[in-house]
Formats: sequence, C-alpha cells, structure tokens
Amino acid sequence: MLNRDTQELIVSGVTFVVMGMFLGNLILVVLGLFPVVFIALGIIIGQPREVEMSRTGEDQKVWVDGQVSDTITATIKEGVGMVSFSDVLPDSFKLEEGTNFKVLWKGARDRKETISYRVTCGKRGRYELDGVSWEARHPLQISSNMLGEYPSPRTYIVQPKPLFVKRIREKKAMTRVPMPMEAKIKFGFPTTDFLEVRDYKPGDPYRNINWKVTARRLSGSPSAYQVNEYEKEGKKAVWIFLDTASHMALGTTVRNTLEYAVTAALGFAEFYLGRECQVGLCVYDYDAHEWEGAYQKVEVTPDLEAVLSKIDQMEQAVAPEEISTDASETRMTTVSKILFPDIGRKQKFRIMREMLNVDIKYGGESLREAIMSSRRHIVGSSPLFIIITMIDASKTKGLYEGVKLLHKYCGRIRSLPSIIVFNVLGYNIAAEDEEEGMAAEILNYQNRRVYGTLRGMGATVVNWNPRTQSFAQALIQQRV
Amino acid sequence: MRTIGYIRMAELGVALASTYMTAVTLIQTSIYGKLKPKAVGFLHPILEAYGIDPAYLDIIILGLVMALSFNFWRRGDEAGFGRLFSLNMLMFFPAVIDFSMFNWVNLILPYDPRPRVSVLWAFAVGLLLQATYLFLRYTVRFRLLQDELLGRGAEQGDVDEVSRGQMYYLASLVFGTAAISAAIYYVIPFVVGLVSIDVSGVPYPHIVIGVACILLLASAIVYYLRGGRVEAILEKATSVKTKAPSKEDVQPKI
Repeated sequence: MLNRDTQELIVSGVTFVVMGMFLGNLILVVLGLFPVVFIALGIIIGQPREVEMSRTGEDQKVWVDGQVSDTITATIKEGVGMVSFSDVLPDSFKLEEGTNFKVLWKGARDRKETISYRVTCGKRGRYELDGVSWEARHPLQISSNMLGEYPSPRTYIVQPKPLFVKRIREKKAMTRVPMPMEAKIKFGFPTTDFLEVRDYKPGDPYRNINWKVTARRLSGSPSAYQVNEYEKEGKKAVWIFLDTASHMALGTTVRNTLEYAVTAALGFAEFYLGRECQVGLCVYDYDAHEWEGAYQKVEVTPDLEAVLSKIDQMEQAVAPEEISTDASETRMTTVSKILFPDIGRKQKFRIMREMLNVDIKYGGESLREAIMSSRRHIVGSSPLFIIITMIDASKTKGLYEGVKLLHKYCGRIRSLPSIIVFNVLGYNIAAEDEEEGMAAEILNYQNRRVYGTLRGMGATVVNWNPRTQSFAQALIQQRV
Repeated sequence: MRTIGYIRMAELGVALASTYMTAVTLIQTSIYGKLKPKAVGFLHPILEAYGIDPAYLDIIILGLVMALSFNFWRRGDEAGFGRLFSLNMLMFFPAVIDFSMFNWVNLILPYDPRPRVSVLWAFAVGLLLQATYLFLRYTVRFRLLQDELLGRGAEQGDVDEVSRGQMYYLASLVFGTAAISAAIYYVIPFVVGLVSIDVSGVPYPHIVIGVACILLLASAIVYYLRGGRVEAILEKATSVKTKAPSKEDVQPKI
C-alpha cells in the first residue's frame, strides 16, 4: 500500500511543515498538510473492491478451425477507479469478433458491463479456462492494485480434423498404399467380442436381432430391427508410430509439422479402421534414442525422518567426480504412450482422445523402445507399420534402428516388408516465402540419400508437403 | 479532440496560471523591491543596448518565466514538471519570508518586510502551487496509463472514458483538499487562542514540540499505510474464492 509515490508526498509535506516551523510561517505549515490531506482523501475514496463475473456461454467441442463464442458480464460495486477484466485465451485461439479484454471506469455508482467474443480455435487440444481475471486500480495509484480471478471454468475440446481418404477419383491413378496382409475379407467368423448395434440388413441371422434395443428404437430408426454385430476373426493389424521429437515443432505454433503429422495419423487410422483393420497407435520421441538405456530409479526415495533431521543443515557440496555425465547409464522411468490394436468406432474415439494430448516430447520412448514395449501385441500378427515422422539427414540412426527392428515382426507385400515411412516435409511447412521455400527444397534434396537407404531397407517412403498436396495426393504419388 | 488533448490543454492552463501568479507575487515582495534597483543598475547597459526601457524589467521577468513554464510544459515529462515546481517555489519563497514570524534575513542584511500583497493572497498562491504540483504529477501518469492500456489492446473509447474519470477524480480531490486546507488555515488562529495559555506553560521550545508532532504524524501515516499492506497480504493469503468449482462444473457438457 505504501509505494514510492506516497512516500514522496509524505516527505514533501513534512518538509513544508518543518520549514514553516523553522520560519514561524503558518502558510508553509498548512501547505505542508496539503499532500497529507490529499493522500488521506484518496485512501478514503479507495478503488473498487467488489467485482463479480458471470459467463453465459457453454462448454463446447469443435473441430480445428471451428469457432466458439462466450459472453462475460462484470458487476462492480463500491469504490472509484479503473477496472479491467479479461478472459485469458490460449495462444492458438484467434479473436474474430468482439473482445476478451475490457477497461472501464467505475464512478460513484455501481456498474455492470458485458463483453462477448467469437474466436477461431486454431490448434487441437483440450483447453480449460479457469476463470476471468480482473484488476482494480486506484485512480491515482496511491494504493496497490487489486488483482483477482473470478472462478468461472470453461472447457473447449478442439478435435483435429482427420484427413479422409474415401475414393481416388482420377481414372488412371492407382494408389499403392499397402493393405495389411491378412485383410482379405470383410466378413469372417464372428467372435464373441461385441462390436456394435446396427440396423438389420437382409441376410443377417435372426438370432442376432437385439429385441430390447429394437423395442427402444422403434420410433426413431428407419429400420425396424436392430442387430448385434460381433467382431470377425482374422483382422489385420496396423501400427501407427507417431514421432513427437523436438524437430516436429518446425513451423508456427498453430501450423507446425506435428500438427500435420497428427492429422495424417488420424487419416491413416480412419482409413484402416474403415476397412475393418485393427489399428494400434504408439507415440514416441525420436531424440530418446540418444539416451537409451536400462530403466531404473535415479534417486532413492528419502526417509522422511532422515530428511527432517537434516532440515537445518547446509547441503553438502557434491564433488564433480561424483556427478555422472554418461546419460546412457541411467534414465528416469518413462510411461509408454501406446494404444493397443482394436477396431471400430471405440478405437477411433480412443485415438482421437489421445491425439488431443499429443504435444512435442509427449512420447518418452525412442522408436526402438516403443517397438519393444509393444512387441507382445505385434508378434504373430504380421502388421502393417506406419512411421509418421520428419526425416532429417543429420538424424537417421534412431530411424534406421527402428526400421531394422520392425523387419523382424512384419510380413512382406510383393516381396517387400510392409513398412511405410510417412515423411512430413517440415521445412516446407516452415517456409514463409519463396526464398525459404527454395532453401527447404535444398534441405529436402539432402534427405534423398536417406530415402534411398530406407527404400533399400525395404520401407516405403511417402513424402508429404501439406502446403501443396492433399493427403490423398501424397499417397497416390508415393514411390515404392 | 481526444482526451489526451484535453489533458494537455489543462496541464498548460494550470502550469501557466501558477507561474503567472507566483511571478506576480514575486514582483510585489519586499526582497524583490530591495534587489530590483541593483538588478536594474546591473542590467541597464544591456537593456539600453537592445533599446529596452529598464522600467519594463518586471514585464521582462514575467515573460521570461512564462516562456520557461511553457517550455517545461512542452517537454511534458515528470522531470519537466518537477523543474516547473522548483521555479514556482523559488519565486514564491520571498513572499513566504515576508510573512514569517522569524526574520532570518535580517541576520544577514538589514531587511524590513513590507509586502504589497496580503497574507491571504500569499496563502492562495501557495495553495495554487501545491494543487499544480499534484495535478501535473498525476496527469503525466494518466497519459502513461493511456499508452499502457492501448498497448494491452483496450479500445480507444474505453481509454478515453477512463482518462475522463481520472481527471474528474483528480480535480475533485484537489479542490476538496484545497478547501480543507483553507478551512484549517482559518481555524488555526482560533485554536491557537484556545490553547496558547496551556501551551505557554510547557517547558520546551515550540520547535521541539512541533518537530515531534510532525514526526509523530508522519510515522502514523507510514504505520497506517504499511498496516494496510500487511492487511492486504493477510487477506489475500486467507481468502477463499467466491465459489469453488466442483468437478462436475469443470467437466465439459458434451
């Protein structure tokens, strides 16, 4: 409350009074009281102290680039001064209409102010807005500013848009996107694993009709009967490995390599789930191969009594030779980010939910470690592997090791292993003008020998420049 | 015109008015009257060289300080207004000496104060000086606040509204303070009459009692303001949010 400004005024007042007494001058004594009275009046007529907020919007779930809106009403009582309030939005939200920040003057009367805004959600994720923050200032800044946050939680779920590949329209185009080896037929022997309830179609066995559901949906569904669908045997598995290393951050906050990689992963998941395949997802960090090593605890949990007994002691200095510099020796335990293969809409929902959380460094394991973590679900299923990454000629060791390891578990399509390396061209995404675009092409050119090596190892390399190609075009133009 | 234009115009008016009043007061003080013949004698050759009648010295001084005041206003920063206050105080001080009970100047040179302005005039000019000091001190901050708010994305209309409110508040506070100070000035002689008999018996010089009282007053203010800060910290530490959101509230209703 006592700031420099107030101190200066008090000191000047005291100086006047002392001088007045020294000279025996009543004018100076009274003038010395002037700043003191001024401050006293300023403190008595203080800043607004009671601020209430309310929201009228609601929690929403939108696609990337979708829009959400909200309205906030502030009621300010007591005091006089400037009040500002704002609904702090995530960085990736773009204000389209209205405002989320308001400054107003609160006079002698109570004041009510409403703001509303509409924003475009540019990036996927789950965004939780805690509350509306406000600030009340004294008109002359005599006393400290009052800061507060009024709790009014709001949640926005921004879903990434999957890149749908439904049908190739060009006559001569024939995609060579491999299908899993075992995915021969859409219908097989039904298992006892329940899949979903769907409308009755001619040919469905009567014993599959779910009479309870049929009775419930009689008025709502165009089909009279609802039948239980069970999973079929012989599903082919597809494993998607998504790279979340730091180089995937290339580009802007909203449009970066990782964002396109996520949409590509969703596109693949959609494509293969729509063709009755089991799809598994594994999120890894390319850079993690640099500190691969045995997992173990690097710190022993200290005994509480021992900790408390040393609370007043100075920490003993650690000798430099005691500090281990070899990162490969020990490593903190990381949690695998794996969704095991499954089919149907449930799996699609699971993958979508996981994708909301994916961020740079989200996966803690290297590609090799991720494969090892999920090998029990891979062995014997001859799956198709899709590695979504950004190939960098200076960082290839981890990728080569991963592809080599995958060789052990995959079958062969047309005598080639079923491994797709889906390369999102990050340099092209980051390029903002023509010169940068040319530089990106040069960098991509340097990667050519990596593509050659990967193809030599039997993998299919698909390059995707999201700026110039659609997802489907990238898949059509791929070279095996 | 935007609010900032009005603020600047108000600053100009207040700055020039205070300087004019103090300059006019200076010209009518005894010290000025004593020093003026010497100054005229010293400046006579220079003034004659420019063809200026030395009788216009008062007007020249007035014009000079007004030009200085305008220059300080043109700079518009806190340092400039600080210098303006110093200039005004310098011109006002001879009037203060004229109305002081202790004639300290007489210790150095023979001096008999015979001011041509009344004590009320001097007090009013003093009030104007203090009001100017506070007014200009805060208008500079209002302008800085405008820039800050615009930088944070506030709309021009809202910022203007805030500035208007601040100016109104400042003017009210300054006028209120001036009124209270004037009331104190008028009341003090009556209070002196009431307590002088009791006080005359106190075995300490008045300066000691006065300084002690002032220090006590300043300490009380500082203690009060610091106490408010501690109170604010404690309030913040123990405050509970108006309504803690439940888990159901946080979950999206999708």
